[in-house]
Amino acid sequence: MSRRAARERLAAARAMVLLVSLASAGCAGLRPNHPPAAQTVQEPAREAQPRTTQVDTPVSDQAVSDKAVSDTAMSDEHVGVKPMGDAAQTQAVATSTKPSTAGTLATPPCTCAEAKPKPRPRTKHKHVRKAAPAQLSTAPVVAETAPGGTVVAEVRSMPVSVVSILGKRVKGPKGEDLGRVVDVLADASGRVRIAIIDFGGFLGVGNHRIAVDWPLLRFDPSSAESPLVLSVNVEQLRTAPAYKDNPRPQTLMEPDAKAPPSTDPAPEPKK
Amino acid sequence: MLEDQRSARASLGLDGFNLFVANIQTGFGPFIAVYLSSQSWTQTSIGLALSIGTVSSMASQVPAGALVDLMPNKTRVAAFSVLTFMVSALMFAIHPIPLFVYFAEVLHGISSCTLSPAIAAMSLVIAGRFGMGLRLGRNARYAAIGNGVGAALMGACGQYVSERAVFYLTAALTLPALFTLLPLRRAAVAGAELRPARRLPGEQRTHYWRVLADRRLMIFCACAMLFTFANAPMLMLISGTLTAKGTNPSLLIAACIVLPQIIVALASPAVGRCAERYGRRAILMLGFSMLPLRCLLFAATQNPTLLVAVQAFDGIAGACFGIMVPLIVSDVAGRTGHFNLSLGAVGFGIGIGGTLSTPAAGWLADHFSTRTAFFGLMAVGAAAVLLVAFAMPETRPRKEADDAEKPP
Repeated sequence: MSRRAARERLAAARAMVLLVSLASAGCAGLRPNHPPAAQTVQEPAREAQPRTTQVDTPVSDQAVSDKAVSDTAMSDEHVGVKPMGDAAQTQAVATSTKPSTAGTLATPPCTCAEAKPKPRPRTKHKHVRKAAPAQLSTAPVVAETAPGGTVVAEVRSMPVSVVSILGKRVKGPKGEDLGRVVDVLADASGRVRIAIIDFGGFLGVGNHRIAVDWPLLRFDPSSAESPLVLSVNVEQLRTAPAYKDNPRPQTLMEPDAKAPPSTDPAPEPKK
Repeated sequence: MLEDQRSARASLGLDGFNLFVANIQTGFGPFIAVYLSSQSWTQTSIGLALSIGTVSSMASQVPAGALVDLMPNKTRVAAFSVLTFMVSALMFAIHPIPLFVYFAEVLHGISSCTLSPAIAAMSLVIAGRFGMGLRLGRNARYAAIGNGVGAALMGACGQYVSERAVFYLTAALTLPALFTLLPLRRAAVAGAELRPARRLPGEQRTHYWRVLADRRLMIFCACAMLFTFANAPMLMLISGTLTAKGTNPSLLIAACIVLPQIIVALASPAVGRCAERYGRRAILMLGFSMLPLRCLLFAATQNPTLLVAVQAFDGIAGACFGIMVPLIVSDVAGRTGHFNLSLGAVGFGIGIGGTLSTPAAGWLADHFSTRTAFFGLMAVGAAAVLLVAFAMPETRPRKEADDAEKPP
């Protein structure tokens, strides 16, 4: 079996593990990107990071400005940042590519044989940006195939600080209480798409649950109890339809975030 | 003279006990889901915890009633139940890990089932069969005050202190509840002379199935089940409308909870008196007919203020229903020695109605509309009214007949 084939099998297995852990442990922070391709050994991924930052520049003005304010250590976070509108659909595109794709990141990436996205630690942005979906990813994974098709993982401390999301309060832009995150939903690729926010009610009576598009949330790590900021009007939350447990729930999202998933050039399948 | 003083103090004690128990129960309501969410519990685990609570309380209704029947000292049962509440609240507050939470839910479910029969039995001991309506009116009044005050206290506590503090408050409130039981303990000793709820020793008890198979009890159980089925999801349905239409949904929902309690507190003594004067059926009809009326009004309006105002009818219904359940059961089974078992059986019926109705109404609201759900509930409520009108016999004991067989 070629090394490539082995890698792919391994990646598929890991994708499932990630999905399961995401769903069961409520690890809102886990945000695997491109699990199917995320098999490169850790070290090369790191090397690629600084270059990725430059490469990314053409992606969008937003991303550019974001990058400008962040340090190199965080640069890998930015690759996932998308302009507000299509962040949810296309953020995977920006996952880093090999140096060879330098300058072409904005075009469909990751699909060429060499361009392998790497698993990389992601965390919430220190600099809160509007369109920035908090990018959290799995801990660095070492791709070493074990006999049973499992990954020989290694334990290392997370290079960036992370914070728990589930059960945390959500603030409005003016600091008003907009409720609490009670669930986080991921799509088939394991990417977090929706936060279920429970708000209103009195002593647990009459709570209103709304599905909110993940990119609508900004992160403010300075507040441990309410690290999330949702920039929508309370009116919109109130009048939004209650969340119903179905595969494609009615979701509160940016008006221009309605681009069909098919526009996503990323290799990962969208629902 | 001494007797009078004792029973007066016992009466006051029972008032206080009702108040604090209602306070405590507020903390164990749907707020648990909010608290566990704040502790990063997943929705699945929260659902499991709440289901465990529901199942354990449903399963223990009838056995707990039978158990309370066997206990000679109901005050001790009440004290023990309240202590269990304290343990349960502390388990929630101190260490909300799944094992503790599930265990606390089971403890709370079971002790709720022993507590309400114990309160009813103590009321029967203190007031006797002919004062029962008045006594239950008082119970309902203080319980309503406790519910209203508890909701306000705990709402404020959850908002301004922390979710966890609500459970510490709940645990703390068990102490005054235990304190109010002290005069009752003495009254329970004197209770033997006051008015024994059961037959004297040596007399044979009625067989339990004969009590449970009593036609009046079965019909009433069906009525209570239908009523609860139609009543339970009402608040959930209107709070949805309030959230979408009102300017301050939390406050409006709080008003929807507290307003009926105020009405219950005001109306209960009168309802208790009327039950003695005009009979049970009349009061039952009055209370039950509030339900279709409410459904109709809710279906007709979307105005938040009107929705809250219509909740006043819930207060009337609540006062009637809350008093009629123990009263009718005491009419039917008060002297059989199976009063608590019968109360447990009715409680089981109520539990089934309440458990089934919320998903049913939610389904109607999801697939059709909230208005359809209200009409559905109206039909069930109307069925309950018709059942009372055409099948439910009067259960008020005739004084003369009873005097003749009263033990000396």
